[in-house]
Amino acid sequence: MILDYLYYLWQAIWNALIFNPRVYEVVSEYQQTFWVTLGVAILGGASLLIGQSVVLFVNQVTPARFILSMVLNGLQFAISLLVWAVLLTFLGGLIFDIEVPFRIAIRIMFLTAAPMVFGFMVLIPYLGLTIQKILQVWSLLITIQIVNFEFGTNLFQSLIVVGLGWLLTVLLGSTIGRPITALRDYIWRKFVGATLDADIQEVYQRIARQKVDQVTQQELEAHSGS
Amino acid sequence: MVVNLILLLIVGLVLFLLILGVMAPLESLGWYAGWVGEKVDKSDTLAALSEVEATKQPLPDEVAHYIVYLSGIGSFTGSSIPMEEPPFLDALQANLPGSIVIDDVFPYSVTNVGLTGERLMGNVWKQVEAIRPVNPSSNWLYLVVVRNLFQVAVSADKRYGPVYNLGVAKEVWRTLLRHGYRPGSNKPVTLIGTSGGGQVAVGSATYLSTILEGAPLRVVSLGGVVSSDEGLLNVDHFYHLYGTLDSTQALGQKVFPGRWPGAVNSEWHKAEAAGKITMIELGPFTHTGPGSMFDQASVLPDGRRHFDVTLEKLTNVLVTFYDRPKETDHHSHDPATATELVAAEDTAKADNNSG
Repeated sequence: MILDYLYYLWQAIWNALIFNPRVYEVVSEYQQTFWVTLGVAILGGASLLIGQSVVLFVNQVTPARFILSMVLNGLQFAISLLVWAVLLTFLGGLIFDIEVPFRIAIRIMFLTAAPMVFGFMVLIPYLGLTIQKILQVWSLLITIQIVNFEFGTNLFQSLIVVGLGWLLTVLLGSTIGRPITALRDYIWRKFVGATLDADIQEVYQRIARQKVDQVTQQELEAHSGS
Repeated sequence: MVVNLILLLIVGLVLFLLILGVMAPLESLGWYAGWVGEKVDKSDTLAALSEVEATKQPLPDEVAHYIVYLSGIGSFTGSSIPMEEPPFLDALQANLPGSIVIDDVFPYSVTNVGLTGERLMGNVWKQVEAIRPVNPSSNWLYLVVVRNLFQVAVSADKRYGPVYNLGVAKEVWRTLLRHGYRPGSNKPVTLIGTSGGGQVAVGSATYLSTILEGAPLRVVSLGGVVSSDEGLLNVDHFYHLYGTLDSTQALGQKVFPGRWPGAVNSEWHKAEAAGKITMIELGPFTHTGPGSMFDQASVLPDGRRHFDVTLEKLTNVLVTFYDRPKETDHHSHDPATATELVAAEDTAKADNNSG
């Protein structure tokens, strides 16, 4: 049972990564398709958080909370993909009169998170941020390609739907999405003790002072005692 | 069969580098978050201090100028550095009797624990280190180079640099205190960084300038690979000594976008515009090995050894200090004045010694 799940999880990731347009059909062979696609999204979100974990370390979270934050980030990532799916379904119907069942749109969007399983590589110093951009573009290309195939649109239509979808998520995020962001930050603070948007410079300065003062005190005390 | 083997080797190498890359920032981040405790390796510093006493070198109170040497990426610990460097540091110390040259900071660890210290892979590094005296050009030594190279990248990375550079600055500060430096003394400090040590020196200067509370601070890069780091704006001056055949140091201006000519708002260009950067050409020297700046066997057409040329130019930098107009008030706490006094003292002592 679990081995079957892992096999289809692997198939879902691999086929999405190589731009197989029939990736959804491949995954659909498994009865619990939703859970496989959700697994891709959570894995992608958690891996990406490892890559972007500097903010957690800077806020001095404990190892247990670090793991908890990975799960939370995976869920948060999955929710953001869910919003994408709603927007794509809405836009596809509105502009091009294309009807795609919402449950399929969600699963398709979850699959586009496949490149993010390499998100941990964002940790690599200096090259990490470039890798993050490559993963984002890779994910976007998969989105366009899957929309193209599953929605039955041409390339131009796919670009319009995906582009407008992205634009709407940005607009929603800075308008009606604010209370949701506040709720997200509350949950992060409650469970992890930090938000992902924490003022890193402020934290650096505070903790830097503490660490240096500690060394000065240790060494001067040792010197006066000797 | 052979193709498969080569392919397997390439995949293995890429995976190895990938793992090293992903793991690279974890030591400093873990230390910062408090996951990894402070395991300060005291042996190097204590050994250096007892040596100071044994050789009757000036007591800390008499030291007017503190020089901290940060070795290149070939070092295993603060004191286990490439074999051509210790004689150079000894000669430098002899040239600067009023100064102290400190060489027990390992710039590739935020806790100053060398690779052969209390680490998970400590025993592996000890075996690699044992190869160096027998075969200094062994390929196994590239392991330490790659490992430390990633730490240089951590120092230069805007995300991790503040954490990593704080760790190194803290250890430099600890070492300064152990060698007699006292907070508020306003005594000048110079960081000398070779190769990757140049970047770490510049990176840690941001914090050191705050810790030193206005005491003069400058960085000298010996063939350093230096990024456009905020530290350049926080030092009193940055000197870059380089060999014209040294393609490694030249990488700095290629791989770091902040040093590209178009990046006018970068820290590098701001520091340059503020007159804080001086580039000094050493001659046709390479980065390491035969023909390098520390090489005692290679000579220039005029008969001078590479070693001596580097030593002379570095000493000149250290005793002449800034290219600033001299202040009339010698009691001023202005960094330029304070360091010129030190420079004059050093020169006078050197003259007395040679006389």
